[in-house]
Amino acid sequence: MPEDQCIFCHIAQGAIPAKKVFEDDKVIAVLDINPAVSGHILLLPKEHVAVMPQMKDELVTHIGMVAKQLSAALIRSMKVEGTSIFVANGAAAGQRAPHFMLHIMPRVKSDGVKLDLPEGKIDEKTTSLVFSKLAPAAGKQLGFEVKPGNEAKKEETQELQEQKNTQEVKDGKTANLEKEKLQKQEPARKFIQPDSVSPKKEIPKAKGALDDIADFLTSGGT
Amino acid sequence: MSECLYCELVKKKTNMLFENENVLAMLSPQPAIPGHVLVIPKLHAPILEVVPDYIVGELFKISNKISMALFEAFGAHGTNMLVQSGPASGQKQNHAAVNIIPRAEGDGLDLSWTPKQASEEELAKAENTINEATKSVGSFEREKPKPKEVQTPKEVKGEDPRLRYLRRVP
Repeated sequence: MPEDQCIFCHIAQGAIPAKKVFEDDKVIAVLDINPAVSGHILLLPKEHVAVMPQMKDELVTHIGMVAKQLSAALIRSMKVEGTSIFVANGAAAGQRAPHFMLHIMPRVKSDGVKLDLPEGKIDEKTTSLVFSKLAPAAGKQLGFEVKPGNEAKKEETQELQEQKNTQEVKDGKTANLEKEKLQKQEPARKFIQPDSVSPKKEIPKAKGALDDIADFLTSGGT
Repeated sequence: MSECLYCELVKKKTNMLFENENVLAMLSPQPAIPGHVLVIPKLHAPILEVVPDYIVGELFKISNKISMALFEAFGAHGTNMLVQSGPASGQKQNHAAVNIIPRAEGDGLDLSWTPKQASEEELAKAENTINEATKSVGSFEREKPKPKEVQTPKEVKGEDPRLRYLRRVP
């Protein structure tokens, strides 16, 4: 990746002067010199990333929170009727620069910006076809965030109860002792539970397609 | 609030792709294009700017995963992510949402603008206007710790001293 040729990397490093409206260790926000409207902000990650799917979760989370606050700042200061937060991944989506960025634009009625979404209707058949294709892919990307954690918790508590039950049936005298043991163990278990079960096993699987887009963009596609 | 379409859909979970405590992802009931997904906060909020920071962070993280899933499931050539705040921006439902849209060349969707050449003066003026408001950017609300964890030590503290005194008396 020709990072030394990326003007947005130069902007992020301060090598090219820009009207900076926010900066921290991970991101920088500057005014677009070719704005759609006055106050058009570009929010960039400092590290060179071509498209959003290449970014780590923490960075995406961070950039989302910064975008929200910048958008709120635009609404407050520019006294506009709204904002658009826009991301394009890939030339087909309208991406023009080789460096990933979020556009945050102040909006007023009939300002000439075309970011309206038509409200379409598709029949049930197509919808269920789309759903059946997308749901497994989305589950693969997102499933580990929640499900394994919950399932593990349920299994654990079930196990615990089963153990208790069997022991009580086994022997009245030893059951009490073992119950005490179990109760002692419980606090330790509680400490292990909070989101420790979600491993970082998932790596974007769409690599082939993404690398093509990244290559296309960095080789100067429109 | 019961008249909010997205709040209804949060209850019904129609074509739901993902949900956790704060966020739900589903196929848009009025898709701009087949595969158009909405990622929304479960709690009603009219625009993104009033959604708590940590939930906004989650919304974006999940939206990015959905975008990856669109690349994978449909071999999309690109994806758009769009947040519309206010009717001037094209927002139609009174509930904050991140739109994720799979894209291909010639799909008929036009999301664009005409870049203008801004003069140094215009840029400096905009910078001055915005900079006062962006001073507060960067300190984020985090999720409040759940009260359950605090309750257990309290009980122990309340009981232990009394028991000790009782034992000392004889």
